[in-house]
Amino acid sequence: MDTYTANTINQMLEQAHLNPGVIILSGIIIAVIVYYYILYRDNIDKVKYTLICLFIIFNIPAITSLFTGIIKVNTTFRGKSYLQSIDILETKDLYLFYSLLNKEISTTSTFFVAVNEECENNENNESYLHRIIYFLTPRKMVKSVQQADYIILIGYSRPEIFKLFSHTGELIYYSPLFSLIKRHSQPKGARA
Amino acid sequence: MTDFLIGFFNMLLIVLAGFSLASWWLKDGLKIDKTLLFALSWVSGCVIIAITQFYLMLSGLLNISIIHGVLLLLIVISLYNNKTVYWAAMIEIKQYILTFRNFLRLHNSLQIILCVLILFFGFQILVFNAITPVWSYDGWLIWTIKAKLLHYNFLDIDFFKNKIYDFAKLDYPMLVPVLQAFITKLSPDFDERLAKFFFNMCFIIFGLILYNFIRNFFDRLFSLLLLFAILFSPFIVLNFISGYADAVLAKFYLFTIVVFYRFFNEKSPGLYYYIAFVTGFAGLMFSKNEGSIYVVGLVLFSLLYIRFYIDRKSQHIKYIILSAVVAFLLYLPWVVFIKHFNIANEVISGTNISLVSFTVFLSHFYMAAKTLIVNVMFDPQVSGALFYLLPITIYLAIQKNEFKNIFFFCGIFFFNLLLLLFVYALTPFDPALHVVSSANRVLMSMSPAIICFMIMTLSFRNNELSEIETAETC
Repeated sequence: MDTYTANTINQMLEQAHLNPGVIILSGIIIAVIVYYYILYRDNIDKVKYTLICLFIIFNIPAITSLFTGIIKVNTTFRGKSYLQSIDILETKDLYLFYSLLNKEISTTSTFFVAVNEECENNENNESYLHRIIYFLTPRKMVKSVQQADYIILIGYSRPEIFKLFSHTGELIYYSPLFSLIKRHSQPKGARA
Repeated sequence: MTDFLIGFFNMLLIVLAGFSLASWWLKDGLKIDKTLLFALSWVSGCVIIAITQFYLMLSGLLNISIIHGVLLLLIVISLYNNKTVYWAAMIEIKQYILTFRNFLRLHNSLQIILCVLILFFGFQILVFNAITPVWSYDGWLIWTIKAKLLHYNFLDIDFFKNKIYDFAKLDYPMLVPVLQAFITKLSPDFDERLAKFFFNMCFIIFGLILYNFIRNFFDRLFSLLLLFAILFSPFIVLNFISGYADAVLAKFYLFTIVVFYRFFNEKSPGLYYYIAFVTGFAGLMFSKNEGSIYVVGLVLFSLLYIRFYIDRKSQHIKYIILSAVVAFLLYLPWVVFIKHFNIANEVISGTNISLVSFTVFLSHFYMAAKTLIVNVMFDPQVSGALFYLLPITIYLAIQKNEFKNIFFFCGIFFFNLLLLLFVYALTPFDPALHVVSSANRVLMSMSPAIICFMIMTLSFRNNELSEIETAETC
């Protein structure tokens, strides 16, 4: 399961608790309920009316806390570009890597992703892999290193990269989580 | 701004495409409820575009932009042939605007305050969808990735055979990605935020249908209050802003149930119901795999309902069976496609279901049911107070001998709930984790049945007053 996506947003949505909004909203709703009762008290089934009113009042804190979060998110994201929005949503590491991939790899290039199965962070690696595939679409992902213009490595240390991939190309970005190798022999269509 | 206009234009095209289909069936004029007609236009438009695009894409014939030309042609032909219906629709729209103006001018301040409150909260949801990218895991990697590939004309049969994309749940129906791609299509680059416009429109339609239904049982002031409490419940809002297909499924389900409610009360149903049922059923099946279960429940319980509670049986039965058959025929090529290419089912991939022994099944079932009830249904932060109200409402309905409502609305809900629990119990995953991670979405998509049931049962006005007030417009 995903561990970090949306956590930011979820936290933002959930962190709002009882606040002045609840009091104002409750005031408006209770005013409507009382007004309605005064107006139609002879024509309404009181049991059903009480039930519905309890339902409505019970919902107010949940609605208010949710919308406090939503309004907060709307303020945070206002005027941000797509990449900046990703920066807010994802880890800084991934954002920097996204920006690099976006700049470096042309839409006609192909890429191969290798995930280090033995990496400590392995639980998240699959999720990173899926995100990178998503983000790089429509660039074509290939099934072998030989067909690729770029190799993306997830969870490889520098010595491991040196041992396993140094012959394939030039390491142009390294972090403990993500690395990017540009292959030596580039097929047609790849950007220089 | 340009992207916004593109999104708006494409959504208008969906409504017009649906209306052009509906107008063939409404040659005598607009005799049905106008809100439902608008909802029908949107629902039919979604289904027509999704099905056409998807099958053209599979046949390899489609440069997806062609669909815009074809749709415009369809709309023009329909406009030429059914001028009366279009003209009547224009007059209705004008009347709606006038009614709204009168409404603002004449009605009491509490109604206006409630309207402002609903518009403000609704606006926040629309803004949220317009400025944040898709942020839920399933939203990105099941639905939007397919839309993105479709946008760049890269989604073809090879995609479904490519093991790299297994994580995108390739056996899931394609209505949502296809429509997201349709909305972004005229924009040069794919932007998730534009794709999420689709959910905005679905949210608006969901709200309109819900209000339309509530209005049958309550006066305007209380309808607005109830709409506010239900529509902005956390589990409804969170699904509409996260990019899950369950929100779309819920919209189709609510539409179909409301149409069923009207259908049962019709002595001689019009042709409108054919198109509403066909598009409703097809929309459910094409949105998510659960949709097929919902259709089975709806058909089964509606046939039993007609058998027990309606006098003129044959005509009603004919409508339901014929619509279900047509919807299934539309859906059949997708089933054949999935089977033909042996596209893995994500729930059971790599696991032999028969390995889950009966004892394990029972313990899974118990765990799933317990978690579902304690952690999802009765968690106020998830579903609000909706499920607290359900047992009391059923008790009140029994007291008033409203068994037919319990039979149909609660019947389909508990039928779906039971099947959901079976799925949780049969799969090899930890049931508690599985339920917590996904149940609120599924529960939300099946909730329209009980929402409608509670609204009907808890209508507290006496009949005379209700009749006078429901005669009001808007």
